[in-house]
Amino acid sequence: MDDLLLNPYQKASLATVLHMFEEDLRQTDTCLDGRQADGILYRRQLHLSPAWRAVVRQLISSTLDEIATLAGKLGLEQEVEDPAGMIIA
Amino acid sequence: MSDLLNSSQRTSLFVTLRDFEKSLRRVESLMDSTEANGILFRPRLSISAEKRAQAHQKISAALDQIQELSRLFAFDTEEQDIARLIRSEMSSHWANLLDSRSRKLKRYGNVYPQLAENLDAYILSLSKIALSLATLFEENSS
Repeated sequence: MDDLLLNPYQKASLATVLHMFEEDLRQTDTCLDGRQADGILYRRQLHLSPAWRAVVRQLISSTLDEIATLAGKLGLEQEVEDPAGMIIA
Repeated sequence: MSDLLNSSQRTSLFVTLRDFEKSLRRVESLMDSTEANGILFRPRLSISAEKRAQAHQKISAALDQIQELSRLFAFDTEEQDIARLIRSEMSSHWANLLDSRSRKLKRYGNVYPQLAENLDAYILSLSKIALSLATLFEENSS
């Protein structure tokens, strides 16, 4: 179905938008758990009640399910990315 | 030692060191996150275990030096509001998702008539979630 619905450029554009959204959802989830270590010169604070954290966590989980469904429907493939590229940049 | 710098010099040095520290910790996180598996991405670090260990050592040494400079110049720890960053990111995703509806994909070529019914409902749903997350972090963070 994917190749009938999207040309390669449209497919690449959609994959990029959804990939970035997914990464930030997962990063937000990490912040909710307080797994972001404090630095020497900065400290990251998230003032959100435990009840709201639970709401957001549930929302993120269901959103990732939606992204997975859409990716499957459109045949968007998992991209292997090399963090070394980002480190050099 | 802190009186060796005027206010502007102090701010400049602080920002430089803080941003360097952020980058160092980001690199550490990237090197450690190669087991994480997303839906649309899978990190795979191409450098050897030996070079990775060397990088960890250098980062650790750099962080020690930042710690020492911070102590010498009596820099305070800056508090950063993550909610603001999340609001900004989610607002950006909301706009990008709306730009991915079928009619907007015309800029990349002809759009198949069946695309709208297969794509737009998902995209609209995801964009609404991005906006609701931006709003939630605005309304519920103190």
